[in-house]
Amino acid sequence: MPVNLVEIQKSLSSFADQAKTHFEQEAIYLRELEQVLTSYADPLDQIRSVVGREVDTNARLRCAVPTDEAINTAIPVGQLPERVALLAADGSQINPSRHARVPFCVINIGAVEMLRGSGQMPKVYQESQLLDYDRTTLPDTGLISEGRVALARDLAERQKLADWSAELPQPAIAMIDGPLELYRDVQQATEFERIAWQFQAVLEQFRRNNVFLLGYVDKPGSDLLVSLLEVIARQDKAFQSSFPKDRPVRVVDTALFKDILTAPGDRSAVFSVSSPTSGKFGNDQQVHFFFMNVGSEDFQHLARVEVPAWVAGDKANIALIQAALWDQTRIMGTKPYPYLLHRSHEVAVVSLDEHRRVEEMIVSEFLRHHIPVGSPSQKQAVKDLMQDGGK
Amino acid sequence: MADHIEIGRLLRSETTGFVFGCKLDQIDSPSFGALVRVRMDDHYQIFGLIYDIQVQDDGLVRQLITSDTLANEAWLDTRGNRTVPVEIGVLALGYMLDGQVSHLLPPRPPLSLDEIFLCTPAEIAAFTGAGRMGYLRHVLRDQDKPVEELLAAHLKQARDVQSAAGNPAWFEAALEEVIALLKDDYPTLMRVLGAVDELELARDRQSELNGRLG
Amino acid sequence: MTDQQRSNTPKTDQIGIITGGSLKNNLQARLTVPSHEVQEGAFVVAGGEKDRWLFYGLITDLRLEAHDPRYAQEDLGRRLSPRLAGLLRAQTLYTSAEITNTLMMEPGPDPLEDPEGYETWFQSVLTESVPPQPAKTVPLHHAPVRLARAEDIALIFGKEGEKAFFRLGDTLEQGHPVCVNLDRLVQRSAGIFGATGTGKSFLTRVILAGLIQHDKTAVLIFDMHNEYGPDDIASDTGLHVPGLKGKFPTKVRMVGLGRNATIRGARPDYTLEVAEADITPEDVLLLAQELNLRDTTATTLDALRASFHGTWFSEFKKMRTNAFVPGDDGKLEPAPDSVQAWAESVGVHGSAAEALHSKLRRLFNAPYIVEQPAANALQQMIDNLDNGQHVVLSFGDYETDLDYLFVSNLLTRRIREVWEKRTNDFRGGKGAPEPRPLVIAVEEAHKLLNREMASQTSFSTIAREMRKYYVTLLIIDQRPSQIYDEVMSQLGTRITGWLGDSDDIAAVLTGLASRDALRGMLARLQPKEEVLMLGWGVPMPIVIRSRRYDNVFWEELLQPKTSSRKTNTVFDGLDF
Repeated sequence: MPVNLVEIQKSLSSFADQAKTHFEQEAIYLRELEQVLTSYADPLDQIRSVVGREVDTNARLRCAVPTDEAINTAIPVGQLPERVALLAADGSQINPSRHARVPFCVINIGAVEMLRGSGQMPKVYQESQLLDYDRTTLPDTGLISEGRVALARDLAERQKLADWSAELPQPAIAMIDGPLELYRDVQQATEFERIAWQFQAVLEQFRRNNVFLLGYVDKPGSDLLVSLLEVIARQDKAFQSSFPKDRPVRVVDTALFKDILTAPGDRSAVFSVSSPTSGKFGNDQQVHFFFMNVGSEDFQHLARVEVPAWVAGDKANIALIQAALWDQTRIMGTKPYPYLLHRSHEVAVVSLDEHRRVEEMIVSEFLRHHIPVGSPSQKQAVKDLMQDGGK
Repeated sequence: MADHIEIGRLLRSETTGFVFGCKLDQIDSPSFGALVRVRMDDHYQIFGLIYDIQVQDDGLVRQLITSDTLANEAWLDTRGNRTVPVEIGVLALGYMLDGQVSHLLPPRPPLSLDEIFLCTPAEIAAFTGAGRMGYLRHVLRDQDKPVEELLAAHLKQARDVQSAAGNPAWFEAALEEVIALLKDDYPTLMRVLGAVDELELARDRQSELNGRLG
Repeated sequence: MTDQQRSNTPKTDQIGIITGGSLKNNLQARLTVPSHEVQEGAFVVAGGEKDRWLFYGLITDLRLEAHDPRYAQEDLGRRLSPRLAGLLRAQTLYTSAEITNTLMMEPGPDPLEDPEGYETWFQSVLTESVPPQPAKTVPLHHAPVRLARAEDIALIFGKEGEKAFFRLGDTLEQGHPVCVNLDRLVQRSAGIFGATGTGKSFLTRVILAGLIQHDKTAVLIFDMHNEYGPDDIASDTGLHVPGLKGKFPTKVRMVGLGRNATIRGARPDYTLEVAEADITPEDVLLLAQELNLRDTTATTLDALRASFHGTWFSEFKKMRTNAFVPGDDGKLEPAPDSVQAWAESVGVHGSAAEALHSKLRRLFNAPYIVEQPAANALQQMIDNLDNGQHVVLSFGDYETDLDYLFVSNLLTRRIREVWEKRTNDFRGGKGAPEPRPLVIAVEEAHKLLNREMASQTSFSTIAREMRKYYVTLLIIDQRPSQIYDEVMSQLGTRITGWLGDSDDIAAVLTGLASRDALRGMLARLQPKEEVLMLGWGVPMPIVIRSRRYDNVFWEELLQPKTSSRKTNTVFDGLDF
């Protein structure tokens, strides 16, 4: 038996007790935060100056910054225009493995375009790239790391999204799953810098083409607003005592918006982000975000939507995005998630079968050129056996 | 070219039949009881009869049916772009080797991803008109299949083709062969003839309607 | 139709295929044509042209069969459209036929490919150098079965106009001519049977006309009802029926019974009287039933013959009955010329003799029995028969059974004696000429040939002797069951119309192998038209539509060369 259930059983009672305490603390802390939110919903200039001051003393501060809407605002969803062009992209990859017979890496990007209101069949884009052998096998680390592959994939995904959306009729929205910003592998600082500049060019491309880029975060675990409220509370004597420097428990933003975005389709105020990197791509590309209730009367479901500043600058753009996402999530019925994002994932994803087939293609090509081909590692061989046997 | 309508590619096969897949937007072409062929090479083609068309579901399709307002574009997307598996079962009926039709089972089945074409009227006439309709025994063999409906659908297609080709007697000869093959199985034969009778009635009704119209 | 066209046209006379059977029983065939296209009694041929043998037989039974009983029980017409129902019926419902396996024969050359070879072969069949033989094997499974063609019928039954072949009628389905070999017919005694009104006497006329025209055989006809010699009016149609005398005026001699006989108002060629001296006790005994004679009669007759020899009849006739005279003792005694006196003198019972005398009074009073006939008509009849002429003895007004039985038996006995002597002379190497074959036609034969009498009449002797003494019988009767079996079994050829009585049917079929099959056929013959021909004299039993005795018949018989039915080749009548 791989897990000693008896020992786990012994700890269960204490584990549940801890959880209970945690939830109780969370509830208490949330109530405190809500009081701060109620007090500081409107004075936006004051809040911004508090944040400014805090940044001066804390260079690593990461929190939301209100724009021109009250923090506790809920804005209902509007009518989708007759026509809107939508494009969603997703990427997936085959990571190189030292257990495989040959080292290789594939990045696969899929995208689906829908001219909503046109009655036309959506268009599917797909591109697969076999990473160069030289980029896959590196002199210092051996195989390229999964983090670097993920970074390359994210960039490729955004690049392709920009390329394929260039010709979309206006208004046009391009979307990806997850935050807009690239995942940062701290070990690859130099590489990240290079890619970050490429990404900026991509962002510019969207802007040039007037395509509204958005990142859709389905189950956001962020605490940017919570952090903002903590900063505000700590400088107000009325709240200070309840907000020590080290928070007693972590509460996420969605907990705060739960009682604000009560109607299906509602969106929150648009926030910008104050962070050490937020100014990197220039003010126009700074990430802004809002929350949105994409659920139903019976079932609230909050998502965070990220957009560049130039998009967020016009509330009409936000309204369009809100309506488009509302429409997209309606298509999926009881599981509100943008239809096109699901479809682009479906197009992009590499199945195990395809993985094997690509490997076979490479192996036979190697054999044709008398290039030595290794055997799978014993570990992989045993895994394969178990998989086959388990079928 | 309209003469050679490709309707899909082979998924799997065995001696007595094969299954091919097609996209949802190709599904208008193949129909139950239609004669199809797989071109193996310049000399060898396999003929078969479509006996089953299965449109499978998947997670997304199941999810989309929960939507109150299914977007037209999503509907088109699912039909046109998605790889919702449409599996079409074909019963092997015979083959053509160097221009000679044989109603024996093909010596080897088609291979993965081989292209499947709808038979043209000329091909239907050639295949069904060869020999003494021995291929009908393949249709009647598997009682798990909807034999009577399959036969009726096939006979309708072949009758129309043969009549147009100046061979109206074909239909009666085919019925005689069916009766000869099935006369030991009274219940099945009567069901088959009942289904065929539907064809007759439909044709009578059609000609009556045509007569009234003018 | 050109030969080219003929050879390209398939023969469409196949009616089925052989599906079973045995030598002991019949063959079974599955019909490929609707049941109504075939009838019981149809003459069929089994086997293909390339087979080793062709088999010939008759359809004796037709049965409706189904591949599965459900196809027969379901009303397919209600469940399916007419076309489908038709197709289904065609394959699942069928008729099976039972066929007698009677004759077999090697197929000859193809008449189309080798006409000369076929003709040569055909002639050899007619002359019986390559005769059909009784079936000793059975056809192959699925051998084709077809209705006999004219050529088949001709092979088996002979071809009209050739040799002694005489057309007696036609096959039922296709009307192919069926012949009887007259030479063979008269080699053994023959019988013509049928219930009253089935056209027996017309058929007899046809055969007699055929025999007279063939001219190889002398014919003596005991014409009890005056219907064969003179012209007549048919009882049912009222039409004129020509008599043999009218059609063969020089060949046929009409003889009337009794000195002043007229036949239908006309004078016969000559008359016949019976001399009392010619009458034997057996002639009287034959009349036992008619005269209601007692058992003692034979004893009395023997005594008479012993007393008076050849003149017994006239002596007995002269005796008085109930004649008594006073005797010496004053008592009445039988008169010396009385029956009683004679009886006492020879020790027979007086009252028996008296009774016999009384019963013979009908003979004693018969005008045609005379002590001394004016002319020797019997000799004249024999001379006529010798000279290639034929004699019709008409009974004129003497139409009672007594007259008929008495005269026909007596004459037959006398004539047979003459023929027997001639035969013995011929065979005895005395240089005597061969006797001319004689056929004696007798009606109401059961009265002469029944079980009680068969041993006593000359007829049964003739029937049993076959052709030993060149005399055979042609017996015409409506009650064959009354005829003694032994006589029936000796009949070479039997031609029978419809018979209603099962005993009669059984009697006609006595001694035949396939009588069970033939029985049903006989019971279902069409009265007046159809007859069954069977027996030794025909190669195999066959039902025919008998030839009509009418003007066409006479035209065809007397002017064969101009007849429309005269055929020149064996192919005529074939359905090419």
